[in-house]
Amino acid sequence: MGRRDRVHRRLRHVRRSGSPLTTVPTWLITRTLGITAYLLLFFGICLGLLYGMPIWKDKQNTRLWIKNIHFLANTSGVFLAAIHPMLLVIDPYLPFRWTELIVPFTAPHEPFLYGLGTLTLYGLLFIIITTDLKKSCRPVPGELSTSQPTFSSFLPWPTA
Amino acid sequence: MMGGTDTKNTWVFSMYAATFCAVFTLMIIQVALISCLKKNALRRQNVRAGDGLHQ
Repeated sequence: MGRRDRVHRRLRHVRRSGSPLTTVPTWLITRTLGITAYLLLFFGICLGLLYGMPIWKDKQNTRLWIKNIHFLANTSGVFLAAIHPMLLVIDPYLPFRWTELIVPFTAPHEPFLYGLGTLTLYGLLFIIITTDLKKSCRPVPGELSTSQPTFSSFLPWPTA
Repeated sequence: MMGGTDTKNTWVFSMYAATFCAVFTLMIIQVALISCLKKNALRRQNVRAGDGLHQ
């Protein structure tokens, strides 16, 4: 049985069952979440770059405020980016299996682009976890601190 | 996030291009400012070292 037949059977099942999920515009919500997450990450990266610039000599309060918003925007961006693919499992328009979402490049439709998305999410989660770990560890003299720019975040952002 | 469907939309694609350019510009400005600071610090260090030799 082809992939399209399976999708049609699943769709028919959803329609027959009269599931309330059919009334939820999951595809639209997924797209909105994706674009919002991207914009939040863009905003967070811009603030991170501004925060790292040597222009805040006498304005430490503003710098601290920018740092807090940078962390908030990035964390909420990653949170939305994590919810964004989860909705595809219940989406009747283009249904995905959990394995197709978790394992990169196994999506039934445009596997390369969806695979890049999966890898991006893993990269973002890695950055968030390592940043939090760094914060909880005592800073060692000479090592990179969290106040210095996390240049690794530039890698997953363009792939998003 | 932007994969597949939405990148074919002109508005979404132009937003992607604009945000990419903005981040790239900010990165260049940051690197230029930091390298300028490093150069100044090196120059000051060399001047101090030169003064120490002359004394």
